[in-house]
Amino acid sequence: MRKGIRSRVSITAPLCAAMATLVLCLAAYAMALSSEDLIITPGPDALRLSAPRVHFLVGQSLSHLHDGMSVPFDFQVTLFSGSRDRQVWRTFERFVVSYDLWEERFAVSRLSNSRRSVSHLLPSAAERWCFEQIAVPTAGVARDAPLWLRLEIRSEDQRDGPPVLADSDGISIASLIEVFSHPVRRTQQRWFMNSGPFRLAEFER
Amino acid sequence: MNPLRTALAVGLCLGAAVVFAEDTTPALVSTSPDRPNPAEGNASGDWNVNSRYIVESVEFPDTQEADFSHRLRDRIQSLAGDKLNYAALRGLAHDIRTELSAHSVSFRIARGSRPDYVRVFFDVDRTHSAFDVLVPKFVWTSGQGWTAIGEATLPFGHNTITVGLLSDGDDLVERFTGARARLTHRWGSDHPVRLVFDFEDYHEEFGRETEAALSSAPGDPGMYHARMDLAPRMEYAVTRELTVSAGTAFESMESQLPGAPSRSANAMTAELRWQHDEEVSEETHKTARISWTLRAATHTLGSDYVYARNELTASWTGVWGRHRIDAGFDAGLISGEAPLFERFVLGNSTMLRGWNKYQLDPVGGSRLAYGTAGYRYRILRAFYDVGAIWDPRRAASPKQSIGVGVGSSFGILQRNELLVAVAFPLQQGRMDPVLIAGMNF
Repeated sequence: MRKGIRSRVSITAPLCAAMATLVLCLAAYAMALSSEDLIITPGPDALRLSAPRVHFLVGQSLSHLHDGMSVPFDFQVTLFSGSRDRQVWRTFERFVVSYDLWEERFAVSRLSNSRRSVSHLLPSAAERWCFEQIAVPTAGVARDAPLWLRLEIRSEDQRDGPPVLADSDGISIASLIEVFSHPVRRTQQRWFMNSGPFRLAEFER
Repeated sequence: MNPLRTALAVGLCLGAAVVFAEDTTPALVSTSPDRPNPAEGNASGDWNVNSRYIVESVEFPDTQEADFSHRLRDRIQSLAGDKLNYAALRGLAHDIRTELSAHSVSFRIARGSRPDYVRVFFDVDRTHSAFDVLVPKFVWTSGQGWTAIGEATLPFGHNTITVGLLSDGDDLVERFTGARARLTHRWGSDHPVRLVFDFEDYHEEFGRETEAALSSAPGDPGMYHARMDLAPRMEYAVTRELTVSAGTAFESMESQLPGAPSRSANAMTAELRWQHDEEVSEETHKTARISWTLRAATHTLGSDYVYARNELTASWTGVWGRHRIDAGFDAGLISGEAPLFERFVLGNSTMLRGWNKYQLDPVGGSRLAYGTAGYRYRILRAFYDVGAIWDPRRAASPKQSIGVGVGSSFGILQRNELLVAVAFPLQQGRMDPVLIAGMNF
């Protein structure tokens, strides 16, 4: 009997320690992504985003790309003001990435709003191009109000099939809202970034 | 030698041979012609940069060529030599999944042996396609009780085993309770040949009306308290619409009288089935079905009963969006002396609804004529039935009934439907409604 109890303790303790370490590592990684990786650059009438340390062409999505499949990535950008309780602006974008099997370069198509495509890109350039397509308009936003930006990227669940297109002009916004209204599935990859608080007045100095 | 035992032994041996037979068909590899066809472009509007490449081959590493129908094989081969069309590949994956009842079908692309050519690999996952549990019928009818059938199906390779438990007081003169099993083996896909073994073992109960009718008419067939059946048959799909089958049925009935010998009804069976589907659009489609079945029991097969049972069934269904019209016709003729389970019945949950089958004829009839028409709008239903069963020594007396009801899967039962209907027998002087409720009847 004593041997049994000792054995149980000896297994449980390292397991708890390992779990705690894992949780701490994940939390630290999430915090690192949240606080430092979303860089905001002011433009004439909009804020531009970049995240040089964030790479979403990785893991399962990259495997699918190397298998010749296209992988849609959905971006949701939200601008908050006040104490992060007031949503000032929100947008959705879908980018479909594919990998040229013979040229070994990436191609990206932006489906929502005005459709654009680019090809012959290295992975980091393809990721950067996606961020460059997003502009956060600042018209009507108070200069001195504290602001927060939140960016969420999801790779589309492959079980959902091909990209959902409303018509030939681009993707349906309603379908993108639908995508982000669901919790993340196990087959999806997700990246989550925050930036703030900041004020527009800070960029004008 | 007991014919039932002989048939059972032969059936089991054949079944085992079929199940364990090794399939040595090579994997399907379709190779492109030497030159690509530049006229065939990819009009699918796919976002994938690889859409400009030419398909060199379509390969199935873990699947045998014989698993596919000719139609699918033609589609697979037509892909080679064309530009990579992801929409076509997704459609093909969907159809393969449907045809093979696979858990999932995915594809991947790899470089071909020459620049600008690619190879397509389909991965068919059949590991989780196995088990399914169904309730083919569950119904309660006021005055006649309930009927419940539950089945479990396990496909493996080209074989399928279905095992069911049931208590059915609806379809025949008697209530039969017990188990049934079916083993099928399929060769090919487009013009498939199927070997089917049916086995049934039932305990029988007869209603008081039937017992009274039989005691007053000693010439009618006797009752039995148990029934066992083994029925092997071969089916062949001549075309996609026409199927023929032929086989035998060895039925053994144990008498209700203690010490009395069991009687057998061993018959040759044949069936012709024709079905035509016409899909005008996604919301408009029509289906027509006609079938003819024959069971001919002879002394040659060691049968105590000698008879021939013919039945002709036809139905037509048209769907226009939320509107649906059904029409059906059934005619039957039994010559000779047939056991009770072979006799025709009207007045149940599917035929001449609203009438009580025991009031129409407690021992069933040897002649049948029946017609039905129905209309559905969304969950609402209305129907009209007319028919008669009779014997040569009793004149036919046509009966009619009408009914209304509601039926829906409620968005959660998938292909199953819950139905509630009230049927009224149209008879002079009075209206006695019958309530019918259940699933899939």
